[in-house]
Amino acid sequence: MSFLRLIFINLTRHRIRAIIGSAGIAFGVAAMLTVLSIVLGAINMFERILSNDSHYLVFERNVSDLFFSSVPEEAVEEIRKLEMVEAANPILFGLVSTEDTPVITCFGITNDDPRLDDAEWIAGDRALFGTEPQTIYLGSRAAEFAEVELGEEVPVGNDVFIIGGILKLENGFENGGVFMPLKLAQEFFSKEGYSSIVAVKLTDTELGEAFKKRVEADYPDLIALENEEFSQSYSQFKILSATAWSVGVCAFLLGGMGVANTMLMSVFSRIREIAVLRVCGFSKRQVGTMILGESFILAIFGTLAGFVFGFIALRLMSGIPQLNGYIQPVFDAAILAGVALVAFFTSAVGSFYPAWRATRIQPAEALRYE
Amino acid sequence: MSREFENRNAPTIIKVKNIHKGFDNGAIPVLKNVTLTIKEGDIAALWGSSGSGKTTLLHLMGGLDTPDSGTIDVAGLDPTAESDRLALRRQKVGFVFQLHNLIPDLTLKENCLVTGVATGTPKSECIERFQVLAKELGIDHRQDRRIQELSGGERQRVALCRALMHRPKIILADEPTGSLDEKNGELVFEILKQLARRENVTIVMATHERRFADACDRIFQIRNGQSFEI
Ligand SMILES: Nc1ncnc2c1ncn2[C@@H]1O[C@H](COP(=O)(O)OP(=O)(O)OP(=O)(O)O)[C@@H](O)[C@H]1O
Ligand SMILES: [Mg+2]
Repeated sequence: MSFLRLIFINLTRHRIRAIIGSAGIAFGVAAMLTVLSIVLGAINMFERILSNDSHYLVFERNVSDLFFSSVPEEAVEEIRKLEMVEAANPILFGLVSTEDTPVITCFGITNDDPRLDDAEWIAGDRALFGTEPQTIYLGSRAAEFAEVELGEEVPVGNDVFIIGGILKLENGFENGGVFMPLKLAQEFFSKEGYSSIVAVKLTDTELGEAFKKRVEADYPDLIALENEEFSQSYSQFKILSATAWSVGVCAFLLGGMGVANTMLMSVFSRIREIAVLRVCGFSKRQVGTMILGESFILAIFGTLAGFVFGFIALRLMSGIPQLNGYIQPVFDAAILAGVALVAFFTSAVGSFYPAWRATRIQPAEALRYE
Repeated sequence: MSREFENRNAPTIIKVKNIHKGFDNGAIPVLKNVTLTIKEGDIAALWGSSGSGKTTLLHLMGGLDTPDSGTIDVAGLDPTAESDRLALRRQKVGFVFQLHNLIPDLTLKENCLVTGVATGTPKSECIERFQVLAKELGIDHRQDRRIQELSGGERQRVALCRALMHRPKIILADEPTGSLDEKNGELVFEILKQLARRENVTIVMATHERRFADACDRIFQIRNGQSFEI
C-alpha cells in the first residue's frame, strides 16, 4: 500500500460524499466552460464580422458600442482614394425585429463587399444585389428561422421588404442576420450618409501605422485600429469576457465551498482514525497532505466530469434552433487549462481549513473520543 | 511474584520520574508524582482500578500527551518533547488499544501496512514482515478480508500485528484484552507475550484484571495517583 492508495481508499469509503464534493467542482467547471465558450465564441464571431478580409477598422472615436458609431460617406471616399488602401468597405449595423424574432442584426453593405462573393447563394442572384428596390437578403439561418422563401414579402419594422436572396455564410452572426444594400439600410435606420464602420484592406500591411496616422489627422473624430488592437480595446468585448469570468468564478466559489464542506465532514467523521494514524507514525504534515490529496483527487474527477458536462451542455445548446450558429464552443487548450487551474486552486483553498483542522487533532484526546 | 527478573542486569528502557498530570488545568489531578523504571525485555503491568490513570500514564510514555511536570525517557527519547515524538512512534513504540482502532474498509493487510506508509519503508520489506507476523498470529489466511468481516479476537490480533510491524522496542498496550471474552483474551495475551519474548520487545500493559497482571514479570499498581511496584 502506498500513500496515494490510502488517499484513494479513503475517498472510495464514502462514495456519495466524494461524489457530492466532486460534483460541486464539476458544475463550476461546466458552468465556466459553457459561459466562456459562448461569450468568447460570440466575441470571436463578432470579430470576424468586422475583420472580414480587412486589416483595419475605422470608426467613431469614443463610442461605447459600434452600433452608435457614425462614419460619414465623404470619409469613406477619401479613405478609398489613399494610395495605401486597396479596398474600403463601409458597413452600417442596425437591429431589426420581425413578428417572431425580436432582434436580428442587420448589415448594410455595398455591392462590392467581399462577403457577398464569399457566401454560398442558396437562392437569388448575386449579380442583382442592390439593383432591385425594397429588397433584402437573408442569412440562411435567419431564413430558416423566419420560414421565408425567395420572392416572399416580409414585414420588417414598419416596412415590407421582398426577399431577394438567401445566403449561406460561415459566420454564425452573419448567417443569422439580414443584409441590406447600404443605401436602403441608411434610409431604414434614418442614417443617410453614414456607416457604422469602414473595414479597410491595405495594399501592404507595413503601411498600417502610416494609414492610422493619416486617418486620425484628417478626421479627428475617427479612429483607426488594427483588428487585433480593436478586439482588445473594445469595451463591449471587455465587459462580456469579464462577465463570463465572474460568472465562472462565482460558480467555482460554490464548488469550493462544496469541497470545504465535504472534506470537513470527512475529517470530523474520522477524528479517531486520524488519531490512530498519528499513533502509527503519521506526522502532522502527512495527515494534512492526505486531506489535501483527497481533495486534489476530488478536483481531478470534478474537472474531468465538468469538461464532459460542459461539452454535453454546449452540444445540446448548439442543437437548439434559436441559438444555432451563435454558439461556437471555444475548446482551446489555454481555456481548458485556465478552467482546470481555477478548479484546482478553488479545491485547494476549500480543503485548506479541513486539512489544517486534521493536523490539529490531538491523539490522546481523540482516542478517548467515542 | 515474579522477582526473578528484578536482578537481571538488562539496561533500563523506560524511566518515568516525578510525573504529575492533571486535567482541566489541574482541577482533576490524576497522576501525582509517579516514578518507575522498566528494563529492556520486561513484561510489565500497570494495574489499577478504573479511573486510576493507567491510560493517562501510557499516553504520556508514548508521547500522545504531555505531563504537567516530571521527566520521561523512553528508549533514549523524550516523549514530552514534540521533536522526539515522531521518531518515538516510528521507531521505538507500538500501541495496542482496548478497542482495536483499526481502519474500517481497509483490509487486514492494508491496516498493517499503514505504519510502513508513514515511514516510507519499501513495500516489499513491509509485506515480508507482515507475512511472518500474520503467520505467527494466525491471521494470514484472512489477510484480504476487510476489518468488518473479522471477529473480535481476530481484530485484536491484527492490532498486535500492526503494532509490531515496524519492529518497535516497546509495546504500549492499553487493556488489549478488555473487549474480548475470557478465552480469546487469554489467547491474545499469550501470543503477545510469546512474540515479545521472541523479539525481545518490552511490554507495558494497562489492565484492571489481576490475573493478567499476575501473568506479567512486573506489576506496577497505580493507586491514588502514584505507582507502587508489587
Ligand atoms: N481529557 C480529559 N479531561 C478530563 N478528565 C480526564 C481526561 N482524560 C482522562 N480524564 C480523567 O482522568 C482519570 C484517569 O483516566 P484514565 O483513562 O487514565 O484511567 P484508567 O486507569 O485508564 O481507567 P480505565 O481502567 O477505565 O481505562 C479519570 O478520572 C478520567 O475521568
Ligand atoms: Mg484506560
